Amino acid sequence: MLSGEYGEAVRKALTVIVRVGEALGAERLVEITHAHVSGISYFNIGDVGLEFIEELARMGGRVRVHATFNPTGIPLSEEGLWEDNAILVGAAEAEKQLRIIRALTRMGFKFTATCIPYKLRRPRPGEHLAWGESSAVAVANTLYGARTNREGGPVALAAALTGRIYYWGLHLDENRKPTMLIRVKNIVLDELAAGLLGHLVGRSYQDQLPYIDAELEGTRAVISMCGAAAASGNTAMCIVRNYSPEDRGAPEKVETVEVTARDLKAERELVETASLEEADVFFTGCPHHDWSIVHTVLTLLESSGVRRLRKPMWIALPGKLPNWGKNACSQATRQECASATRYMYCCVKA
Amino acid sequence: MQGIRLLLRGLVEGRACAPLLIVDRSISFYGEVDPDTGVLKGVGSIAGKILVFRGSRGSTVGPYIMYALRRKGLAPAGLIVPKAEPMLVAGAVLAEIPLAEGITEEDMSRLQAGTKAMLEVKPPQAILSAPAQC
Repeated sequence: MLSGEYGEAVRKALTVIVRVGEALGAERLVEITHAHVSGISYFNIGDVGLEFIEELARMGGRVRVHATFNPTGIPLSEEGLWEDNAILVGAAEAEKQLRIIRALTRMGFKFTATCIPYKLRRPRPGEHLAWGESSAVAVANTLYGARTNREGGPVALAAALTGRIYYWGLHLDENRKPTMLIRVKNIVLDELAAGLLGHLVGRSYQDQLPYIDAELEGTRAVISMCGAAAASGNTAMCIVRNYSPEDRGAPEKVETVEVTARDLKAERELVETASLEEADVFFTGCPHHDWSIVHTVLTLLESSGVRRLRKPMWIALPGKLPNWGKNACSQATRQECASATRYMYCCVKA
Repeated sequence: MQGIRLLLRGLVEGRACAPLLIVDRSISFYGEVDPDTGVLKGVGSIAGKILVFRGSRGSTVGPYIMYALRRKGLAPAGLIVPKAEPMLVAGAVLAEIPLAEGITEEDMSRLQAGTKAMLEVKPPQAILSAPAQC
């Protein structure tokens, strides 16, 4: 591959991976089954990123494994722009975003635009991946027992084109053992509480692999915790009791930290920047929710007798999920939202 | 400042002679560094400086930001951290910025911002000397 017999794009991509791997001290590369690429929003990577991706496509780059990509800067349909785009971004920016997506799909990427790639293809325990998107990385390692480091956008892209990544960090058994113990007693952690715990853990214990000895209320709570820990620090993996495939019980002889209800309350005060009364808009969906959340929200509104929201609420959903019809989100969701909440409920794809 | 010569671990090859900029926290290149101006939030321009900082965190978009800084001539001249994570390494490789790790807290506090320093990285070794004449 390095000699160029698979083409110039593969040679360039592998060079990046080898150089990063060498700098990190990796001894060899490992084959992956799925690359998920972040850093494809024009609003993040600008003209420089656009040119980088287009150049790889122009050089004949072609994915060698299942390859997906992160949300873009604009809501999309598969055919082109979503109808409300003109309001959200300028036409020139939208066109450049589409050029990035065209370059990616030309190279064989699945049209996904999501930060929850594990909902499209469930990672298997022990499988090697090369994923960007910090929250998805934490979920893949923690909840599915698959193996990936947090790869930067260009490196994950290079891994998609070569089907390989450096064998280092969380790809190795010895780096997947808990290095500390976080214990939460007598509280069942719902999505919110699990998110607060994740925020506390990510912020306070960087470069650790925490064992979470707590009762989490379902996989959604685990995902919420992973997302928050990845955002507030650099947590790429936890072992969660009863959820992680690699759970071998609480580790012994490691630093142990007790987290109480009071700590979680303090964490909430830290992250809350506005009261319910002050808020102008409500947003949920970072990382993306799947389709079921829309029904949950609508059911909640209906069962509480809410007919009209005073403030708009936005829910971010993937660009595409399995079994969605054409433009499922942009049309069906909004119709459903609109009829239930009399147009005050705004539902967007992000 | 007394003359300082630090032996560090070299990760990405290169040589820089530039003023030191010391940031006593971790940095998220995406979100905290403006790729159009090279300005780090709350700090100022990192362009052409040897940036000594606690480490990198945050979004996996970071390497593109570093690559963009290089293309616009706004990249730091060198990077020094206690421990480099893969994203910082990837960004340094793409942007061709010499990168070294292994600086201690004590050494970090001995360095003086603005002092001209020389960073020479030849993996697996790196040397930082300050003040330097070049």
